Amino acid sequence: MTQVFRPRSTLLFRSVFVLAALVLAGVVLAGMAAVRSDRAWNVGEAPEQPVPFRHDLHAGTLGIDCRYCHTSVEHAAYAGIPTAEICMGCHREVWRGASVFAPVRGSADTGEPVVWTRVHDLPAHAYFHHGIHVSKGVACETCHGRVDRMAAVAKAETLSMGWCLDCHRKAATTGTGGARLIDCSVCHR
Amino acid sequence: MTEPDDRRIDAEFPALADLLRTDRRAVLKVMAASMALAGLPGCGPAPETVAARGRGVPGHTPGAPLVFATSLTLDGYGTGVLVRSDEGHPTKIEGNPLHPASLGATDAFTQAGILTFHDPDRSRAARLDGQPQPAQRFERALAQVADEVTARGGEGLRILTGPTSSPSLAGLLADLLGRLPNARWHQHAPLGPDNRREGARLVFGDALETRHDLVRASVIVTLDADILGPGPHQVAYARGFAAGRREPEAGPKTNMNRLYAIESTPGATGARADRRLALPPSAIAAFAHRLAVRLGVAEGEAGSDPLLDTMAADLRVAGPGALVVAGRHLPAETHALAHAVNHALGAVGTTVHHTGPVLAGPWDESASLEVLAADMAAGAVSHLVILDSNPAYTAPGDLGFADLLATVPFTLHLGLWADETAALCRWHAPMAHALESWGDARAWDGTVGLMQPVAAPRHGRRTPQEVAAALAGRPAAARELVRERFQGDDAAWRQALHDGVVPDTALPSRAVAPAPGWRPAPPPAGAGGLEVVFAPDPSVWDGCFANNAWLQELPKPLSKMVWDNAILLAPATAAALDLENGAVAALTLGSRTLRGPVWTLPGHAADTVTLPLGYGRWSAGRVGTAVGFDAYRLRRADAPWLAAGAELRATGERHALATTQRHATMAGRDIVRTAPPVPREPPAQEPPPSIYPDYAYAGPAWGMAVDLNACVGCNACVTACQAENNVPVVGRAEVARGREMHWLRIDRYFEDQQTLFQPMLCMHCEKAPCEVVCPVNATVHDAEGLNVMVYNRCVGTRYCSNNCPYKVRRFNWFDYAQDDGVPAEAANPEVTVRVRGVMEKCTYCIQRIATARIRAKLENRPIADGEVVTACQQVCPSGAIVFGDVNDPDSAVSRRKRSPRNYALLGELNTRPRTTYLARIDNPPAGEEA
Repeated sequence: MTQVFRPRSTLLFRSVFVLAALVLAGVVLAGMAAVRSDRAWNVGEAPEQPVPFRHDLHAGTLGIDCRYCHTSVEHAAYAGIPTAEICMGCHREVWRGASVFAPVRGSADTGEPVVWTRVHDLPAHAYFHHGIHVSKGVACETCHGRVDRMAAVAKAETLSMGWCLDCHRKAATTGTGGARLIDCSVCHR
Repeated sequence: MTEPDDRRIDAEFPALADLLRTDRRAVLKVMAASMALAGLPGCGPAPETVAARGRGVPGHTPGAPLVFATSLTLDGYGTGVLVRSDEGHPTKIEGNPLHPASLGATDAFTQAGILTFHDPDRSRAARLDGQPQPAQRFERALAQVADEVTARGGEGLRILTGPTSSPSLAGLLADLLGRLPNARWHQHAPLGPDNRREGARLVFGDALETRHDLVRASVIVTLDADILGPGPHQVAYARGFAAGRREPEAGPKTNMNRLYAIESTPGATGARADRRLALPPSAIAAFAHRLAVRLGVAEGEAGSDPLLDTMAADLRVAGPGALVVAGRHLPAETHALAHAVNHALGAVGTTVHHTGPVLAGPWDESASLEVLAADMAAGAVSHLVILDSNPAYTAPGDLGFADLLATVPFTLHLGLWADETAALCRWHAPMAHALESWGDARAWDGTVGLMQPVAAPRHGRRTPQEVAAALAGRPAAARELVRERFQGDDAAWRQALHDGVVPDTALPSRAVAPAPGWRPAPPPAGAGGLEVVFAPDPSVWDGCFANNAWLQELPKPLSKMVWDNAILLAPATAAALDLENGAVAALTLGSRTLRGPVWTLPGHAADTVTLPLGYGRWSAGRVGTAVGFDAYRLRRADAPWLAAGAELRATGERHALATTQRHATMAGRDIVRTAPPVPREPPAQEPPPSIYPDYAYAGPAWGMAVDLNACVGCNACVTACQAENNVPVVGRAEVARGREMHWLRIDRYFEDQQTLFQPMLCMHCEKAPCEVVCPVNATVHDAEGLNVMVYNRCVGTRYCSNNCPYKVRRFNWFDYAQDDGVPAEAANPEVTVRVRGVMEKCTYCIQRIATARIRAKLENRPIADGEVVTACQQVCPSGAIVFGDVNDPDSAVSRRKRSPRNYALLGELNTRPRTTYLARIDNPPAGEEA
């Protein structure tokens, strides 16, 4: 009776098995990499906004402090999107007729809100407080990047939980925050 | 699935039988649908938008909640509240510390006001003959009616309101009646008449309002009066009662008050009484007479009764500190006796205050509805305007009010819902909820509280004041109608709006003396046969809360029943009639018969049944329609509270009643402890060693102490927790399967003639049994000692719940939060809404801890004692709950935990709970000490 498989087949089968395992592992790893990639977290994406506001001009060239417009960043959970009134404080004088301002002018006159697209969007079950981070010395650019160099604001960091924890772990071990900073309950309720 | 399998499942898991009966086709269908939908999550959500205000609001930080002071009403009496509004949506109600009916706390009804405000079933349009109409059309119709009735001097115009204390509405209606002298104002209180006023008229010659100061009372006798039970006075009375029993920190209280309760239906008052006696209502009237004889107020047969002798002696010793209260449904003669006894003991001016009327309007409310019904039958009414009342449902059955409504040519109903009355009226107009109204209301002591809108009224909703003004031909905005009747300048107005109360408007006490001609009536003859008591329901009250799912699912304090009412009776009476819990019985009273399930309550008077009102509504909304039976139909206008000679018989049918606590006793265990008035030193205890690691706490370690000596079982904490923590409603079927979701429940036990309450919530054990069994580390200890639940890690093994000796963990068997019909706007944005398949439980209001911690850190200081107040603690009328840092020996909670009465529940399990209890103190009469 002739052999169905020649000795070489063993090697072939072994190689196929090893290759299949490698490919499978590769797919899994690639998937894991993909969900952790900047692209999955929309890093670098600058959505279109109703008004082409230039952070690089205002915060960069003109050197206006972040807190001039984001008024509640030091004491509230929410940093605050400036009201049209704040914009018009300057723009009643400069660039007053520009057509790109139409939504802002309308908002200041009628009180109707300007609807912006959110760039930094945290999941609903994470409770982030701007005030406490700013007061503990976390700079705006730590999370938001060099907004003063962005023509249109894009997400600079993933804002994933792992990324938050990188910082919280450091502060828990070397900073003054203590072990509490890596409790679940510090961000989740 | 084969049939033997089915039978086995039925036998083993009766509750699951329906769920498991799924055929192969259905399974394949669901699988196919799941596959088809599986691709959807890949699409991802649309980018979120953020709307920037056009103009800033001075003093307001965007995103931060706003707080408004306003008032809510119950039976016309106002309670001052502080309403939190997130982005324009009212989300939580707290008590207003400046308001005498609140003092910072509220009852369960007030807490649930948030859900009534957000009720999607609330009326959204004016209707003519059931068809929606534009608001302008309604305004024109109203103006036309105003012209018609003005031309006739008001002839044929009748206005029917619910009980109201609003000075502005009373003023507007008085103006209207002044201009239209032939018009008349009727008032209908479903829970009326209040015989206390008639009793005062009998004895003092003036129908005065009576209020009690329980703080100064040392001996309290209640005659079927549930002073600690639900009602407009509950918060103030519960607080006063608890103050009279609270031990000072230094040691035992020497002058603790003593409560004697004579009851027909078991209630909170009887549960907290030091001595309780169950009697049928007719016997209570006779009992009151014999008490009055002993105290020299009445003449007649004293009889021999050791309890009466003890009570009389105690009352005499107490003198000005004595207080006798009769229940609202007892006859006016019994109230007259109670008033006279209080007067004779010198209690008027200390524990009893008589004032002028708090409620506005025509006095004899029920007679007023009877007169109206008679006039309607006689054809004397051409225009009937019903403001905030639902007489088609709440009128006594023998008036036939619903039929009479059809005989009136023009009927207009203003109400929160298009309810039973709206369906029978030609016009219906949507009423503004208190949280979107300008208005005012008097508290039980007469203090005026202002109402201001927390949100703008939508859908053309208007206030009763606006309709009254339009009827008078002078339509005006709601705010102006209240402002123009407010006495004071703009600064005073703004201050009153800010505070929620108008200063110095409490009604003064009046000096009273029994009229010279008054003689106590002889005791009534005993009623024959089965007696019937009509009583408001502790969950839905007179039916006005029937469409509120939080209140429908609120376990009633003693029966722990939800989503139903039942004919309540004593176990012995039920046994004699061959009835058991859940058996449907037919109750015949006169010519009318009602069918409903029976429920036995230990401590209920024999040969008496209690019929809770407020259920059996046929047009309440999605939640409240067709729940329970309607007891109003058996009521008679001439005897609305009590009836005798009823007949109760079994029908052989059964009705499944859902309850949250099926056991009644502690089974010999040491769960609720009671202590004599002078407590002993506790045995010094070192906790036994534990195999689990110790935690070190650098900062605060949170803990709670619950004083069972203060708790009156009022359920305010349960509702407050539900509102604060987005606890979903699960419905009757789920509760019947034991799947209720309340994070905080109140256990009640019937032991040795005593009824005991125990609020139960997560104990936040130091050695938590739940933590060690979780395979995915979803429940963990945090650095401040909280036992936290990580929803995103939870895979739903439910091991934690099985290993929890306190049974305080709740599992989301379905997507309750999505499916419960509670609108998203009602949710607290500071608390995660849980999804299907995860465990949840009390967090010690972690969101409030986080808010306080961040505020303290921003101000660079430690968290002060008392800065973190949990929702249950804040709402508690009697101050039973104290929360704080147990690491700080001087904190209020640490001081309370040092009391010799402090004990850990199931302490022998060495779970070292952070929530501990203080034993209840009983203060039995001398010679009866246990």
